[in-house]
Amino acid sequence: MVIVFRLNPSSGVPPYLQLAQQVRQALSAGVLVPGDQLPTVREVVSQVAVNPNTVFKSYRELEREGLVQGRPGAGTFVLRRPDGPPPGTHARLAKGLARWVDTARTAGMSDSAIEALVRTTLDRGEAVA
Amino acid sequence: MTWVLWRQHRTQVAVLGAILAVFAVLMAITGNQMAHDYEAIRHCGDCRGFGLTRSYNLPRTVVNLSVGVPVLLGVFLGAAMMAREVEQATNVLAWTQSVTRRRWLATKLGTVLLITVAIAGGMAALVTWWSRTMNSLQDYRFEALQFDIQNLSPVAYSLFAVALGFAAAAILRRMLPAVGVTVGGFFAVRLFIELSVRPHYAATRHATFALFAPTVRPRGAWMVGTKLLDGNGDVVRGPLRMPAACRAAVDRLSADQCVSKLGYKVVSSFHPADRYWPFQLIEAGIFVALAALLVAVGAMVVLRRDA
Amino acid sequence: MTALPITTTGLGKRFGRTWALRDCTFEVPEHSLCALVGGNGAGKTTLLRMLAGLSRPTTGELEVAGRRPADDPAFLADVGFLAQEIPLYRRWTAEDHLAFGAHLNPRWDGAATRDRLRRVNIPLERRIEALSGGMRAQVALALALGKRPRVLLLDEPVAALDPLARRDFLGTLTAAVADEDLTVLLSSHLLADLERVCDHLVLLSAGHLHLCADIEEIVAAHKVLTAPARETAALERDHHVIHVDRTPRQVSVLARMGIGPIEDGWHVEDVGLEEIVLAYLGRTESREVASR
Repeated sequence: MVIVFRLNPSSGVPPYLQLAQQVRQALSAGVLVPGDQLPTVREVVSQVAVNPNTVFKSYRELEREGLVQGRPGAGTFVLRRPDGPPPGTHARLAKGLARWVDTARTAGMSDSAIEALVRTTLDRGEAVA
Repeated sequence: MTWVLWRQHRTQVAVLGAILAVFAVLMAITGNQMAHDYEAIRHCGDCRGFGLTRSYNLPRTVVNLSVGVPVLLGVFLGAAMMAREVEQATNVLAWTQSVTRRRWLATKLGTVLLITVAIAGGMAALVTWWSRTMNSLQDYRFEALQFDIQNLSPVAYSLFAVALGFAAAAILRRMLPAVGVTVGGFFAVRLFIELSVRPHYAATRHATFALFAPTVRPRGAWMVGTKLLDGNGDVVRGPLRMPAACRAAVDRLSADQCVSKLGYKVVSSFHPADRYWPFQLIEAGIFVALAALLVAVGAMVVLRRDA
Repeated sequence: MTALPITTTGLGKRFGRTWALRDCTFEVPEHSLCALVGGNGAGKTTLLRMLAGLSRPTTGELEVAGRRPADDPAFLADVGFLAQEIPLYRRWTAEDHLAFGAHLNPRWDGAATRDRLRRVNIPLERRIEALSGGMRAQVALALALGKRPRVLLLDEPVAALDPLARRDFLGTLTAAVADEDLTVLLSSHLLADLERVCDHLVLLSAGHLHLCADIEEIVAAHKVLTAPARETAALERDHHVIHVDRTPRQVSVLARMGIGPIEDGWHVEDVGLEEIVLAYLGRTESREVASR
């Protein structure tokens, strides 16, 4: 199977949204491209042990966003990438962020302080826009 | 279900078969030798210089030990097998496949009883064949131990023991208690029937002898008991005290004559040899009937009880 | 004939003078993965064994896969059961058990069963006694699924397994439900697993049924209301109060919300499945908590 799904039980985010988010990330990073088939419900539950309905819900959510399309009898297929930078840019941004986080941690910043800073910066950005 | 039963019992059948085979070889060799030696003795004429070099004590002991076979079959094929299924819950595993409890039980019991008859029957046949020489020599097959190990009896006892083991395991559901009940129950019933019931399968015949005369055993008969009667026909209990009138006797012969004149005699009860087969059939019938009863009880418990 | 895989009406079971289960009425919808929850001695095993046809009810009616449980090949073919002890023949191999299943079940799917065991790397030629607990559970599950039942009943199947074995076991189980026309009822006390894997929940406590509903609906319908110490009478009148926690300064109520209004002054919060279940299970006692 192409994607490795993981569920974080303590994140507070419902499982179906976590799965949808992981598919979106795979699309953004170019791991899945338009035309690819998403893992079958059976494959996902074998790996993650969730109720099949959770997977259905998550795929329906992605379908609602127009990212995938379910074809009866055939499976669910990728339609387009989510809005955002192309895979190369995405990878570069991810690396840059990792380096910054490293610097911040070395400087003594805690993870929760980093999260708070990111949140503030995002909020400030929206207010400006 | 055939495959399942075979897979479950194949080790048992192999082990029992191997033991039976070894036993058969021992019986065949020594049985033939014995018959040969006996023929030689019978025809030796003046028999001077004739020595019997072979001792048959070992095979004879082994043959007599076969009296323990029924209870062993009862423990291993009856109690242990059923109790292990229940303890490991493999009966629940079988009952939640697509075969009914009824069918499972019927085929399982049928197989076990068939193996019992085969093994016990095989041993009985071998023992009976081996004993034919001794039977001719000593005419003792109607006596206690020999009656139990030859012909039909061991097969009937084995069926009873296995049925008892099955019923005990079905009711008690645990290995050790089931084995205990099987062994204890088997001995209790066997002893009771052998000592208290078998003598009464028919009315005994009586033979009367003078007090110190040698008691002659009718050929092949089963001597059930002897009683000492005094001159009035009353039974004398305990050791005989010399009656006052005969104390003056000078020697053994006159003492004998004196006591006999007083009317003392020995009465022995026995069953004549021609009753051997009827008795075998009656005893086998009793034990097979008991086996059937126990199988019915055990089956009812297994089928109706909550699993 | 109803299409529901499991229905019971007034089901009860008595052992001697004690009722292990009483007045139990519920339904399990088709294709659901239904959790059966309750403390020790709540009656879960008793219920499952009656549904599987292994024991007879004292009172009440029940139907599983459209039939009343009976010692009958048609019923047995449609209903599978995995006992708590995970019974297997110790000295047999997994391969032997596959043959066992094939010979005793008319509707046996050998290829799918082998496939299931291959996916979780079970060695087929090793004796059961040499396999780990998790592997044994997988063999037993594959055996139960191999006969393609319409309803599968499992009694605490993952209680003795380590987290990895548990995940693999539940993965096989959910995959089977995704693939086939199968309804599952499994009892467990590991609520975190159940919330992720199951979509329906039946709750037993002291031999009585307290809940039978869709898990999402349960979570949506229950709330925790907190307020500075006050009376709960009005709340109890309009809503179904499950549990009340009082300190001298504060009161906290877990309730299944009715349609009535909520008085002012109550702070309302969502609550997770685990807390809801614990509240129902501990319902017979109310706790007085010392001031913190």
